Amino acid sequence: MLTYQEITHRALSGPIMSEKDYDLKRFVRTLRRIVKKYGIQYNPDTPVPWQDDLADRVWQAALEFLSEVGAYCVDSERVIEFSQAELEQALKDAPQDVVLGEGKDARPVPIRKPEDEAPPWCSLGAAGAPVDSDEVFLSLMHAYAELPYTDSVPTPSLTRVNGRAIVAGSPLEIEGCIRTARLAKEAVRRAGRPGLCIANFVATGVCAEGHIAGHAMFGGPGDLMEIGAFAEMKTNFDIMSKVSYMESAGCRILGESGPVLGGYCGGPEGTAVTLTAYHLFVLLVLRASLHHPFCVHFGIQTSTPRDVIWARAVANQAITRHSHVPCINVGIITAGPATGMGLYETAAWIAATVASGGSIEATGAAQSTHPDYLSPMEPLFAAEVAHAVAGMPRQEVNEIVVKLVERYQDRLSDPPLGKRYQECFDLDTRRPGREVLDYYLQARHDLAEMGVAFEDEPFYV
Amino acid sequence: MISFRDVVDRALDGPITSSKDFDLRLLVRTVRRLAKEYDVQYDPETPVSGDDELADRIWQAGVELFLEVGVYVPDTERRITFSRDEVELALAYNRGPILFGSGVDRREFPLRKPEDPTPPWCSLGAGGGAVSSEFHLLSLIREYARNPLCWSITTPSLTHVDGRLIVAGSPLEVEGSIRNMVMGREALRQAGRPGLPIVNGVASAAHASSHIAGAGFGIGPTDAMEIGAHHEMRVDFDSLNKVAYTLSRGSQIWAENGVILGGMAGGPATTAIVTAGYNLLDMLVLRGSTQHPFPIHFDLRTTTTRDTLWVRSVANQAISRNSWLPVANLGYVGAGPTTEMALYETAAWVTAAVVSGGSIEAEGVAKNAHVDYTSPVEPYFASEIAHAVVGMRRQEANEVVKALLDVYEARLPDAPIGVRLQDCMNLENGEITPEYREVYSKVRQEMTAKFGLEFKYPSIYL
Repeated sequence: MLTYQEITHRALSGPIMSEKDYDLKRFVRTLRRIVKKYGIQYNPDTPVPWQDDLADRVWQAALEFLSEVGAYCVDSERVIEFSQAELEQALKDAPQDVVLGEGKDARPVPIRKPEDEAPPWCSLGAAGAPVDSDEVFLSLMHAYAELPYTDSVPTPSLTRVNGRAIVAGSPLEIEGCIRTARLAKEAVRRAGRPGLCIANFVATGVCAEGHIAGHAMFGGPGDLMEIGAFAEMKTNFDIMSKVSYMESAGCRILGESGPVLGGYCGGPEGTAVTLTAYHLFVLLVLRASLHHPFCVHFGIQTSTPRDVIWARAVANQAITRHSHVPCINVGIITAGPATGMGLYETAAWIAATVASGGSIEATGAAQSTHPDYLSPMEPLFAAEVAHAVAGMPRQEVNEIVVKLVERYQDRLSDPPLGKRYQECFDLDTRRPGREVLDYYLQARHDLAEMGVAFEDEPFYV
Repeated sequence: MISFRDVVDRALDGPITSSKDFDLRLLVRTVRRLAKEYDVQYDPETPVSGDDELADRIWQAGVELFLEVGVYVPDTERRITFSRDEVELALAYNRGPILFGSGVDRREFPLRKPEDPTPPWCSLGAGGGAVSSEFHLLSLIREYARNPLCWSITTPSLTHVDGRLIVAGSPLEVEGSIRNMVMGREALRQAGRPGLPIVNGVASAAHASSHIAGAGFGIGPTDAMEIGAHHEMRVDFDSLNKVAYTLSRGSQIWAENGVILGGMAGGPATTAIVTAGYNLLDMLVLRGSTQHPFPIHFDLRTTTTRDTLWVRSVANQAISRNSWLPVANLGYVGAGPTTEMALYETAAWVTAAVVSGGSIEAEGVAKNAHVDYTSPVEPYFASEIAHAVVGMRRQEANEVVKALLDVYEARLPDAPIGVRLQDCMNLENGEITPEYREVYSKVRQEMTAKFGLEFKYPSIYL
């Protein structure tokens, strides 16, 4: 694989291009042409497609696409170019047999294929969704770590330090990052799982200094630093500096990429190709050991519309049929906790993803934009669905997902916000209130009627 | 003492002021008025002042300046202000001994007064001077550490990583910063002094992200991050972020301020007041374990002009007579390695600082503006001078410094650049060239012959 030194060299000396030219002349034009060339077409009736040939064409398209457009470094206004041979070599040399966590909590991340019977990796937590206080943070993290399916925990992000709103780039961000790392470690210790992998060091961080400070204080070799590209195919010095630090710290990176459906990617077809191409981007530019894809709808900021689910499913199938690097997919749902709708949204994207070969990280609720509007119930339900659908044929899963999407799709543009964690769970016992429990039992019942066979009894009953 | 958290709150909530208003209406006007009120006047005949009353008036003026003006945060365009009670409480704070280093190299930083018989702390190295390769850095630090008078290290900074020029803010800066620390630590191990503290973490870093990344590879609780204010009386988020991290990490801070004589600080009298005022900024905002000042001439970019020597001298006296936060003076000389002039300049600023109650960090050579124009000899010589002038009366030191100024002062605008490290020292074994040895030997002998300085130890270079 190209060294990181070489990637940096290309970021500083690659072809110069304005950002606008990269977006409009290079990225958009090439993507449109390649989607057409490979005959990639979205079918709204199959949010979970099952044609391997389609997945393979998306993979080939992605390889060709990335070799033509390269990655863009915003600070140097240069393109980091790759040949197709370099992309293929990166895949061959990518990390193998990744183990996360430490001690008794260390586990290998499964390498899954579409319709794989192996249970997916379940990273259960807030996925960076905001919380307002240390108290809510600790209780939530403790609750996530107690869930029986939890393989790793993505923390919430703190919005405040001692009641004061964190100003990005200020010392409050440094303090927020260090506190996030400290509280996360304390919570998993309290749950009796001190070696559990924290999957998103450091969620409260915006700038590299915050990320690095938090990790340098409390990050361990079994944790993951989450480092992202930004839409589309872009990086900057801040991101690259985090990578540079992590390369030296010897810890693993969760390479995040979130193409925007309806943005430069265009429709679902272009989004699927872009998401697939990001798989190689995260290996080379972000030096990731694991890919952390999500895609999101530009209008309703969620991962659960029908076209977004299709794009993710196709991309996961394309990637997992050709790469040994696991995808731990993250999703954003629109409805908040204690709404019912959030559970159906969760079930839809999780089922589609798991049947397509992916693993999961679940989940922020209420579009991850409202502080404290999240709970352990959605991640729990996500994991139960994920374990239940592992091994199911994609065609069957498609039928379930169609029913689920029909149940909530009309409400996506005006979803219920629900309740805050502290309003629907007990902060001390971390147990749900009656209303939340009823929604959960009803959702399990509905999913079972659709053909989902849950492995275990309901956790909170 | 007021907490750092309160300081951050004030950085976000303090009175709003435009940058221009802070400089011109607040800082410049106030310091000019205070110079008059406290009758602070520069006397070119006393580059080393012996006037305790003048020192105390400068201190009072510095306190008033700090109280009236506060500290400007450009990111929020707000001022961090403090009450008189808060300042008095900070000055009364019983901090306990200031310790750096570990193992056999663990030492207490001395709190010296003018004409104090206690030897000063000698932090030796490049003062962040630029070197082109990590092997230069390794050799240099190993050489600094050979000196038994060296109690802490100020490393050079790297300009290149694997031959590639470091671009600020890019991943090369992160890599350069990490490498700076890894090679620095390795050099100290090779020198047999692994516990010697590094006090300018991290020289190769420009941004907080690189400072923090690099610190993880070589700055421990007994080392120090060097964190600076901006000209004048300004601190930005980047610096405050470094402070936030360092406080959490439990490392210490050398709080750096390079007041520019001829800039916003004005002439020597007002520059001295600003330098004294920085002592409180360093204590309260940068949370320093030392103040690390270098009043520098705006045009000649050295700290060895007559007026900057006076500023350093009176500011050190003002601070060391009134504050518990000790001064680790950093110096920049105009001339480069192998020149007599660099050694004369070194002797002048070190003498002025030490007899005025300060400790030293030596030093930047050839204005620290030319890559590889540095050597271990000037810092070594600085430490010899520092120990030789301990306890000297200020009036006597004034005569020494004036005589030295007579030798080099006229040549400051066109100082000889000297030769590069690799041209005057064997990088493998640290041996300096015979020509260089001759220059060093001559100036060293002159110090004894002309000024009666007695060197306490035989030189490793002779």
